[in-house]
Amino acid sequence: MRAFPFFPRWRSLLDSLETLTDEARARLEEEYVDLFLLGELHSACPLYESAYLDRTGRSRGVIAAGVEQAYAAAGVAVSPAAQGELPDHVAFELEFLSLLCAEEARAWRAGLPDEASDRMGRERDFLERHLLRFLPGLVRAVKLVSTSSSFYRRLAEAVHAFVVHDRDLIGALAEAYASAPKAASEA
Amino acid sequence: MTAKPGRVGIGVCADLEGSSGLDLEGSSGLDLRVLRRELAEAVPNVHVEVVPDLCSRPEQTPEIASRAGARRLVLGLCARPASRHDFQAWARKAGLDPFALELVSLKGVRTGSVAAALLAAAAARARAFAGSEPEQLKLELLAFERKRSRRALFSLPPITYRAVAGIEQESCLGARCGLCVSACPFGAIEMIDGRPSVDRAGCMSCGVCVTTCPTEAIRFPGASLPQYEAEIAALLSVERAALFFGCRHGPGDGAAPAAVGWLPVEVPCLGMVTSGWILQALAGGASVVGLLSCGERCRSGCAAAVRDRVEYVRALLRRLGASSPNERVMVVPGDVSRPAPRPAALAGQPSPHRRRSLTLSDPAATAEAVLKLAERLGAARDLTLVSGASPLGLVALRKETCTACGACAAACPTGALDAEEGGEGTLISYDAGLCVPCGRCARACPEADTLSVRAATDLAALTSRRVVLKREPAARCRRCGRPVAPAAMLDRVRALLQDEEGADRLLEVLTELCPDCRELEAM
Repeated sequence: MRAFPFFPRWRSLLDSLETLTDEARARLEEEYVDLFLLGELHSACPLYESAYLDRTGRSRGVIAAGVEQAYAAAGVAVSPAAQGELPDHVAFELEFLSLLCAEEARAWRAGLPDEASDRMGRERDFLERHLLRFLPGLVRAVKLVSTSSSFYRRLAEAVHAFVVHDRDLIGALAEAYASAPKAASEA
Repeated sequence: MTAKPGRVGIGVCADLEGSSGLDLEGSSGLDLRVLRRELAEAVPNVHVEVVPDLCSRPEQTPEIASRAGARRLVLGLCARPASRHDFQAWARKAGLDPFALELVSLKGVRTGSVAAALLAAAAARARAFAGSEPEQLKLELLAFERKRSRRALFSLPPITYRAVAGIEQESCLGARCGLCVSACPFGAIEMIDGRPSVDRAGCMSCGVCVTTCPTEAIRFPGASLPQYEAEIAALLSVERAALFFGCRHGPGDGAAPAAVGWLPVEVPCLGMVTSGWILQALAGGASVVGLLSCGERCRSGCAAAVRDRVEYVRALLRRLGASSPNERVMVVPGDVSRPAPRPAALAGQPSPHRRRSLTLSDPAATAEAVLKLAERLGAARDLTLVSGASPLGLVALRKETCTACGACAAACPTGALDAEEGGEGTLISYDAGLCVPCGRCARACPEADTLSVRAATDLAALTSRRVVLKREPAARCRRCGRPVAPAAMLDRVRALLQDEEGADRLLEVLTELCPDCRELEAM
């Protein structure tokens, strides 16, 4: 993790987590409600993909359904325990990617580079078609309404840096993988 | 130890002491104790240490950062590092930004004061670094083994980072400017919905856009304007500084330029060094400015532009009355082994206590530099030098056909042309010292043969600062008496429409009533 070029952002996030008092924790909850919950899709910084991609609100269902389809194609679905939360919530999208990464890691360990490569392709698709199309907007929105010391602002910046980096890393790996001679991989 | 803001750590390779017999040709090398003391005195908020075997053991980088308690690091090396990447990777492991590390090659530098100046300039540069944003770094793989897991790739360093340009939308002028779009040698900047947008895949990290932008809205980690401004200002405090701009991709096998008396400034591409930079360096106390491009290998094709700029500066210096201008600015041939010429500075030595701050891409600072050189050299004020490489422009306006519509001022990205509407009418004014010859005003002007702009340095125009080009009284509303528009503009509209059918009534409404009264009249 330390070799990650945006480690300073994570460090400041971790620092603020470590020094959190109970009182500050209570304030965090209030801030969460203010930033993300009040007004749901019309809140200051909605946490849903559709809120950013469709300002008119007419095709939000279509966007959410598209995300649901991507989950289904990978054989997963939003758990009923989520109590009707929309599938295009940023937390679900991030969790879905971590799931794909875990599968990819398993494939690498099992010596199945083609399967791992397939998972990487899915990750890339999902990042480009969904998460990265709205995450920058979400981060901008959080930055607009929060102070520089805000925990959520640090969180948003750290997550954004990580996701952008991940997209670049997958892109570079996929390119190298495609151009690597087959023989080398089997050696 | 937690890092303190603004603190810079400097590590110097102990082998520079000279006892190791490394390419120091009988010299005793540097006295590092003196160097260390000098640096600690000259540079505020700094931690300096001498590190054994620094060049061959980059893995010491995190320890230096931690001992210094700094997030910015400068390493003075006795050899050109075989791999810059190793140091970058170790700096990342210390949790530093990949571009928060400056490597200074001190190979062959025998004078302690020069070594100190180079390290101090690198420290100034590091301190001016604002940090990278995720979109400004492009990840690259150095080597790829197919069976390695991504987790392994993440912790081990076959990854390196390249900076790409990023546009700060808050200060960007958008569709009103677009200079970066036409300046990019790779066509990697595109106007999308009135906003320039950088194609990260197409950006080759040359930095040409950085110096083209009139509002400094382009961010480029490692090669940002504030970094160069801090670095060059620090180097100019050296007496008779022989400044040397070298392309990062330039021939790396020759002698280190610093060993033969140059003070090197590394740029991602020489195309980034405008004539304005050269003039500002000369006016700021440099005795010579040398330029070394990567030659045939240049991907951005900057060689012709660089030659033109050198020719322009030479011609300007000659016209200003400088003796032997060819020795003041030169393209250094690939092999940097000849000692740098160091004649007395053209503009005199800047006072060490009043360190000039530079604003490299600001045309006003370039204009000031030209005027300063002119004053020093005692040049006559009737000088006009027309050259495609002139960083400054010159607008000519034909008063007879100008209608004071203000389209030129609205198109000007630097505010050189300005239209001011007051009670008396409209004033079109112009400041040649702010003019970059982009030609947007000439394209915006709706009248034929009325406004022209040349790339030219005109001393008289620079001296007179802002001048009024056209003063046009306003036509007043016949109902309320408020100004409607410049009278000449309405005359022109009248002339254009008079033959149209039913134009009389329309013209009457358009030219004799202000917008508010037009509505009242209609009711």
